[in-house]
Amino acid sequence: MKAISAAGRANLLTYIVLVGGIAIVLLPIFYMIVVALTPRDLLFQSIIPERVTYQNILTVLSRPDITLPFRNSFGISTLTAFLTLLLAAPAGYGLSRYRVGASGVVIVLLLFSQVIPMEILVLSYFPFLKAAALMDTWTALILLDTTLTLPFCTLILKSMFDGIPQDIEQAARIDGCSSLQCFLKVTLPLSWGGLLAAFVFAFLMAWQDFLYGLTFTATLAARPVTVALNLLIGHYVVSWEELMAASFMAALPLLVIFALFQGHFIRGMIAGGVK
Amino acid sequence: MTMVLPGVSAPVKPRLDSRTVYRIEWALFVLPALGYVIVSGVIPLIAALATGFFQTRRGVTEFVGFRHYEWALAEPAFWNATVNSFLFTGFTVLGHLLIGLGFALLLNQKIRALPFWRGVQFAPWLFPPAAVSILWVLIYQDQFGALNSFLRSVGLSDWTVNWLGTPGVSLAAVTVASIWNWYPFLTLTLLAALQNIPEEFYEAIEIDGGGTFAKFRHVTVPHILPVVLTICVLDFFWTFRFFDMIWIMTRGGPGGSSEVLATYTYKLAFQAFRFDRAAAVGGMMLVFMAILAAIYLVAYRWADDRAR
Repeated sequence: MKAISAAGRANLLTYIVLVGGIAIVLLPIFYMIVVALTPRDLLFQSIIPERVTYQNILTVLSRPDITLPFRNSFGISTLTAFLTLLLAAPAGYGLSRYRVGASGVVIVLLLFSQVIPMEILVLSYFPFLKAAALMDTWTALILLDTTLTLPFCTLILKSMFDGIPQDIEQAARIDGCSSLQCFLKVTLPLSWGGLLAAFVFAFLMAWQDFLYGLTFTATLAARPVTVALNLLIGHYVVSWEELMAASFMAALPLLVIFALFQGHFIRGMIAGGVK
Repeated sequence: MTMVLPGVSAPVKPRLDSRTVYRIEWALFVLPALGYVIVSGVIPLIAALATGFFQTRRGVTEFVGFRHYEWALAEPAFWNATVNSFLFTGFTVLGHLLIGLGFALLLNQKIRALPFWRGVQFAPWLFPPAAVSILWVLIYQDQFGALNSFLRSVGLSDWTVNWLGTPGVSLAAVTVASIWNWYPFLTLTLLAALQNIPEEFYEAIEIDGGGTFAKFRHVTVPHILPVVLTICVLDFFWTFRFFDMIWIMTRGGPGGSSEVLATYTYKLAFQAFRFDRAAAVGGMMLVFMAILAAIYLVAYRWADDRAR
């Protein structure tokens, strides 16, 4: 387990360096929260303001050009995650359980589609979505976000299924289970941890999307929160305390989800990223 | 592995038949996702690249071969964006690797409450790049931003600069923000790689009287090198196409000094409305990525041989 073996005294040093390093990388987040809680009249006067206020958060929450994008982001990300699971779970199972030569080709294709520059894809999506009258709709963003999430989530689920012993399935087969039943009734219930990881991952990726939201939405009908934030900067008066409050709130759902499912999420991320 | 079919006392089927059923089942599981990736990824990619070989004038579309590529290769703005892209991506990946490896090595010590520390250091990754960009725009703000305020308060007023508004500085400033946003991914994957190294290898060095550095040099590095290469190439590709941060923080400015290929492609398409030229620049992005992938494959083979 230890990379640089160290005992006793050095361990204290490890903690000091670790806490110091983490303090430094968290400093920008701390700054963001402080500014978000500072009353306007005390802004940028001292590091820690004399008074704090929740007014900025309330102000942000009273603006429909922020609250509607929040609703859009929640809806689009949740539905993207469901669609992703619907496609990725069977695919991950097929790639994990069946020894078919073409599986290798499929995995290479998944890896490749993970790195295609989105700026190129947008050139094709734009005329298509326009012709299909899907501009400025949830449907468009759900379909495109699923393109982003599907390859990685399929790989996460494949490696999760790899980790579930096949003995149970084989026993079920002897009892007369069909392949589909084996998947739905035996393996899926055993792999809810992997499903959760893939769901969370898909939700996070869809939530963080900016490029598709920027290109394919024009109004509050489907504008995600990332794009709404960007539009606030261009506003005639930039009020930083409200911008920071809005930015932090745009990250808050992801922080909460991560805090709840950290273990599953990290296992999934490692499984999908390295293997 | 033969498939036991449902249905009792089925007659013994010829081998080919059960193999066919097996393949059909595989296809039924895999095809929906595979079809989705092809229809929404591969085909749009090919269609977009194809537009790079055509030109439409007054409603007439004609095949122009590599004309748009020739235009791009003769265009200083393209090469400016190319150089910036490699600088931005290269330094971002390097930063991710250094910080990620640092945290991974620390977390790989036998520390208490590992999940807590691992989770806390992960926080920057959770912030959407759009939100991170706004945060760093404020940090870099000229008059009252955190960075310049800090420099003034420690008596380094001479060092203050309009970080995002000065050519030669803005790209570096955005690079720092993108390093901050994404290093946790590297921490996680490198930590997993470190934990896979069997303890015996370290013990062997200990028996030989080797110290901490010898362990790092002769055990840790060769063992994690294949993972490091793989994850760095993935990270490179992801950063190479990364658009959000530069778009929000500088729009490629001032004067194109922080323009990267991602933002350049986007501007060609949606500001100049030259999808054909944008497609050619996108095609060049793929060429650069292919060259890098080839280098990676050679390097991986070398590293993998050494790890064994």
